[in-house]
Amino acid sequence: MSNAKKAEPAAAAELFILHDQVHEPMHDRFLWATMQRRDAQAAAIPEWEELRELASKIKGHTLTHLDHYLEEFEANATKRGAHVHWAMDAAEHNAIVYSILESHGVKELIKSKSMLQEECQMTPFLENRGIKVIESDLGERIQQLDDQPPSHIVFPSIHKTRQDVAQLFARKIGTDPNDDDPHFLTEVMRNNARPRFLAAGAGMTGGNFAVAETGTFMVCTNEGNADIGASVPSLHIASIGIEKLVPRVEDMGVFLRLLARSAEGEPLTQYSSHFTGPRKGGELHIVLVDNGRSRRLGMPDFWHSLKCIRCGACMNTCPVYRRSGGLSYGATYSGPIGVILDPTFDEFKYSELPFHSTLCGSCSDVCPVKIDISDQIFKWRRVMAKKGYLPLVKRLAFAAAGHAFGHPEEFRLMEEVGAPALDYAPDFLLYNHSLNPWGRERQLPEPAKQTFREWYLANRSKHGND
Amino acid sequence: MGEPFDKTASLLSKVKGLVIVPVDRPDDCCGFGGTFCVTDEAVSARMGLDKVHDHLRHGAEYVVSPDMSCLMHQQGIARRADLDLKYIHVAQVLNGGPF
Repeated sequence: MSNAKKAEPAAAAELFILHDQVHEPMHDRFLWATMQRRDAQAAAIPEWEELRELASKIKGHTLTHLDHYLEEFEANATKRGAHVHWAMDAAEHNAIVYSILESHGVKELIKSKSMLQEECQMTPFLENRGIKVIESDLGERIQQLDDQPPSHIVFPSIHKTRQDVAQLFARKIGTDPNDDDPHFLTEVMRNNARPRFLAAGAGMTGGNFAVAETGTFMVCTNEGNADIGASVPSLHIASIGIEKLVPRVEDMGVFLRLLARSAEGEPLTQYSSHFTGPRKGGELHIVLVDNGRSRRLGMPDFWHSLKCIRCGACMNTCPVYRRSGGLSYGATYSGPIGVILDPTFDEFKYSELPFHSTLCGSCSDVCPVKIDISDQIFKWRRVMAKKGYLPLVKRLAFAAAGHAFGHPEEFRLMEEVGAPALDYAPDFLLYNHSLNPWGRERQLPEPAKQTFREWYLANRSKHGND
Repeated sequence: MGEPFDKTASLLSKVKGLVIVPVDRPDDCCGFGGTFCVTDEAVSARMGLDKVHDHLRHGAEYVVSPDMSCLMHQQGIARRADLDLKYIHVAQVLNGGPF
C-alpha cells in the first residue's frame, strides 16, 4: 500500500458541478457534441466495426509478441540513424532525457503534448535541473501557464471557458482580459510561441505509433506544433511507450482511419507525420519506456488496456466524465481509460476511481480498439474490495445491499415494514444530506400500494406459472 | 457502424395511439448506477436532472423504461424539481396496467 493521499473523484466532481452554472454544462455539451460527430463519422463508414475488430487484433498480436517487435523496431530505427534508448521506468526516462540535453548544452526545449512525459512528470524534473520546458500544443500551453495538468488526453484545457483563457493570458502574457475572441487568443499564443521555437535547443515529441518493420514513428497533431518542434532545433527526442508498436506500415491504414474519427469526429488529424531517422544534419533520440507496462501485460484481467491509442472517445462518451471534469480524477489519465490505467501505477491512491462510474458500458461500445473498459472497471472494484481499500461507508453500504438482495425473505420484510414507516419518518431525517445523500436532489419513491410480487401472486400464480 | 436498435421503442411503436417523442440524448445514462447514486451523489443527480429536462423539453408526458432503477431515479429527480412527468414500466404499457 502506498502512502499517497487517495484521489477522491466524487468529492472533486461535486466541486466542479457546484462551482458555477457555466463550466460543467459547457464541458458536458462540448464533449457530447464531439461524440455526436464521432458517431456520424463511424456511421459513414460501412466497415467501421470491421476496422475496430482489426485494430484490436493487430494490437493483441503485437502485444503478445512485443519482445520481437520492439527489437525489430530498435534495429530498423538504429539502421536509419536514430539513437534508441530503453527506460525501465519514469526515473530512467527522465534521467536519459536529461543526460542527452545536458551533453548538448540545451537550456530550453520545446515539446508537443505527450501523455507519457506527463506520466513520467518530466517537466518538473527538467525544470528543477535548470532546463526551461515550453509546451507547444495550445491546450497544453494553456494548462502549463495555469500550472495545471491536462484534464483530457486530447483536449487538455477543455474544462476552461474562453473567458478563463482570456483572463489567464491577461495575467501571464499581458493581453486584454475582456477580449475572449478565440481567433485573437490563438493568435496571441502563436506570437508568443514562435520565438520559443527559435530559441529552443531541442524539440521533444511523443509518438502515437511506432512501426517495427521500418523503425518509423508517427506523431499526429492538428496544430503542426510537433512538426515545427521536431524540425527547427537540430536535436529531436521522442518518448514512446512500448505498447505503441505496430508491425507494419500498412497497419497505419487501419489506425489512422480510427484515430481522429474516434477522437474528435474528424476523418484525419491535420498532421500525421512519419519520422524515420534524423533529418539531414540533425540528431534523433528515441526513448522506449516501460514504466509499468510489462507488469500490466502480465495481468490477465487488465492487459487489454495496453491496446489504447489515446483517442479519448471513452472520455467524451462517458456521462460521468462529462459532468466531472478531468482534473477531478486526480491522476494523469482521467475518464474511463484513466479508471483502468491509473490503478496499475498505484492501487491504493487510485482505489476510488473504479467507483466513479455507473457501469453504463458506453466506453466499451466506442473504443476503437475494443478494450473491455467497462468490464475492467468492474474487475478493479473487486480488486479494491478484496484488498480492503474501501472506506467504511462503502463497505457497510455494499454489505447491507448484498445482504438484502441475497435474502429474499428479509428483503420482503423490509418492504412491508419500511414502506409504511416512510409515512411517519420526518423529512429532516429522510432528506438530511449526510444521513441520506439520495434525498438532496431527489424525492423518495412513494411506496406502491401493492408490490409487484403481491400483484403477481394475486393475478398470475394461479395460472400455474409460479 | 450498424443502425442503432431500440427494443423497447420497437415494442412500444406497436401500441395504438402511442406517440414516441424523440429526445436529444436517448442513449445517455440517467446516473442511477446502484450505490453510485449515494456515493457519487452530485454527479448522479446532475445526470438525472439533465435526463429529466431532456424529456420535458421535448414534450413527453410519460417516461417508459424496462429498468425499474432508472425509473425510480428519474422519478425522484422529477418530483423534487416539481416537474410534470409520469414514470411507468414498459410492461405496464404493454399489459394495459396496472397503473
